Amino acid sequence: MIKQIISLTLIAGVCGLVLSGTRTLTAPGIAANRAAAASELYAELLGQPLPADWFSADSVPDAAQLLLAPQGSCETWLFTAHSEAGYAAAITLIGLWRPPGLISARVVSHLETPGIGDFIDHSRDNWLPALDQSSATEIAALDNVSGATITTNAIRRSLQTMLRNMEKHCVRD
Amino acid sequence: MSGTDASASVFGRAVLANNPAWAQLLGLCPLLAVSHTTVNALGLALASAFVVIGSNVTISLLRRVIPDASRLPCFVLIIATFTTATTLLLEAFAYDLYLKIALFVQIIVTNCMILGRAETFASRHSVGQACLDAMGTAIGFAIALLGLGMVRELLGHGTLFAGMELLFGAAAAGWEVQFGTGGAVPLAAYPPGAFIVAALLFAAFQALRRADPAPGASGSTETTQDTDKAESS
Repeated sequence: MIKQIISLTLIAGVCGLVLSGTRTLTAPGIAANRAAAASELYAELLGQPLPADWFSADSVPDAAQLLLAPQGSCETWLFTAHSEAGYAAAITLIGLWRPPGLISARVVSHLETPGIGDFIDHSRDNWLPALDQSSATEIAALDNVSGATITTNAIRRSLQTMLRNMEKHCVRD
Repeated sequence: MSGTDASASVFGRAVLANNPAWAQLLGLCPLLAVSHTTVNALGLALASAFVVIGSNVTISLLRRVIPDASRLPCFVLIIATFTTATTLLLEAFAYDLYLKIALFVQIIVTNCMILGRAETFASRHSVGQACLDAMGTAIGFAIALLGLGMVRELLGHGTLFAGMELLFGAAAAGWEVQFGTGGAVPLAAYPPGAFIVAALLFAAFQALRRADPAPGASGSTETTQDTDKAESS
């Protein structure tokens, strides 16, 4: 029994070392790639260059930061994020809110089934970009996509939640 | 059989007679899902090669330490480690490709091909033999993936090597070869086309094996385990 415990500990240790070494090696590259992708996404959504203080890799807020607090101002635009349960895992969106209450969004992470639910990925399908600058009424009238009802509902709920949150945020300000 | 012959036999059998995709029909989920372009197929082939070689070598190194009763969880842990490492490396060094194939890289951990090589070969052989077997398996899987990817890209999109810059950088942007405008059989680029093209390629492979019953290509009814047992004896 003791021998087995020692063996399993050794195997787990070797695996841990491999993972920790790889993580150390790749962490800077992954952070830079994610920041560049986030910058590109924000600029695409905004349709104009980002504020100068967002250009450094350290200052580009990722979805996790936007989930906590929106960035921007109620008079011009606000970036926010929301996660909603999808078919396989949470779908996280970054949204751009503009007064008086229009929302555009892109999915930044999802695990929907390829070929069925991945139409929400803007790099594969124009479904979500086609909804840019939608109002609450237009989102409420959004048709479900056949075979991907859970996915469509998750996106609709996300867009509606982001709109509600932004309205509350700006009324409070 | 001399050492060199034995090594060549291990390698050759892993590539051809026991080709994981064409002879054993293993790993078909990523094979069919990712092979609509050559670059995706190559990316997954490289990722699978890294995982199968890394896990085979590690399992062979640790084979006297791994408790027999818990060998399968240990194999899965080691394979999952290399799969996670591959995902991290892809995200750091080939981000655009990572976005396209990450889902299928992550499920390499459940690929029967890799667990099969760990159980039937790596856990019973020396590091050198396990490494050769893993390289043969990786090359065999890569041949299947690239064959399917190239045929589907050619038929479905009318191109070859499109998007290679995702893997090899900006210098590879000019590698694309265009054949006419659009593909002759657009269906080949879609999931139903994957099944049809794969079935035709599998049939062609089986026909070749039957037509040429050479030692390396024989054994259509021989199982992987049988051949591995014969080798270890």
